Amino acid sequence: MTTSDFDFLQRTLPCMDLVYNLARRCTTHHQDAEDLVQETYLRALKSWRSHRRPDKVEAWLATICLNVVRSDYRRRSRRPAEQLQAEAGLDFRSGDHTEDTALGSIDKSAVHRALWELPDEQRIAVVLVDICGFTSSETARITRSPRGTVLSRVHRGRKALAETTTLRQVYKHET
Amino acid sequence: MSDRKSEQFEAHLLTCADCWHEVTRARGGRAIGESLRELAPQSLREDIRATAQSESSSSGRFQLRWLAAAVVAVTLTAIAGTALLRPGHGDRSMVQQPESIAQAIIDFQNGRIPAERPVERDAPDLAGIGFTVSGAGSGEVGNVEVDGFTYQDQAGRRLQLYVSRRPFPEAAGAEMILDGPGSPWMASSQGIGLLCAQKPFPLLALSEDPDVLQELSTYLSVS
Repeated sequence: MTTSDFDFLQRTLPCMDLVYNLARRCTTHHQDAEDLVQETYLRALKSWRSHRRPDKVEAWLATICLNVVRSDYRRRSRRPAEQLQAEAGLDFRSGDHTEDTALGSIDKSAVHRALWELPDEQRIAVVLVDICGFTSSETARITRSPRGTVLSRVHRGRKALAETTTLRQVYKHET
Repeated sequence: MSDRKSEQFEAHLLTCADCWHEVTRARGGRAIGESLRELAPQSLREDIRATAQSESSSSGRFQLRWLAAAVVAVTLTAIAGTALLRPGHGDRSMVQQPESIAQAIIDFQNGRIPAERPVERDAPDLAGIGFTVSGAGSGEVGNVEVDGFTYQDQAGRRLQLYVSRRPFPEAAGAEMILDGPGSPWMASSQGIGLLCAQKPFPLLALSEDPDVLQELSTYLSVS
């Protein structure tokens, strides 16, 4: 392995969780997400070998990942068939607010479905900010959108996510 | 948001049920989103590492095969050139070039520069003639140690610039720009133009467009 490739892995492997999380929310199946991460890293490596040295590796990888999604995966991706595997229930009670309590037992597959029901721009904005941890300014650069637009998308996305997920839970409990 | 605006906003939230509801909903949505964070599988990490390694070695094998083929091709071309062309006539691109010049031409044709180590010096700034750096690397071209830089302008014209501590050999068919020893020269080989000069630093530039080399020559005041 060349020094350059070694350097690439040293700089980019710590960002893999971030890329994987982005890939997971841009594809419907685990295997597709892993393929997307591999494709992202391959493209990044090619770019690295052409002497591209980004200042912010996380944002660079996220941008490549989204470009791959736009170019390759959009054609193949489907909205998730309602057969997502049930994932372990979550407990993120953060206080004694009734809404927090109501959200406390939501399962991941319901959240995943709710996320996929958001318009693409909102879903990507929520994923980049809330799951990948980018700031609104970084997200604006990655998605090439004004920061105000990103803030608006994130807010609408979060609200829709909360409402859809809570409704599903209420419906589930009632039936 | 300034502290004052923030305080005003918080005060408003306490008294406005609609806004309070809005913020609470968004906070809930954020918690839901954050809950989806996952760790990448360890196997994926290993796959990426393995892929990078295999890409690296296959690329190396490819380069070796390509280099061997190129050496054979250059040798055959040189033999054919020697046998078929009379000196001073015909296509000068068929004439055998010194090793470093031949290698520089091959690298230019393949859009490559040496990448054995980081460059020792900054890329010469050619923004004045509309070129921006697209790559940099250091290593050997033929037997000359160089820092190599690739440039491109908005029209997509490419320029490759090698900077060295040692002078470059003279290309076959070179035409001197000035009289006397150490004169900058220009040459053309296989459809690629070359410009070589000792000032302001020993450099060798390659481009498919002769105008680019003329502009560079004037811009760097090589003569």
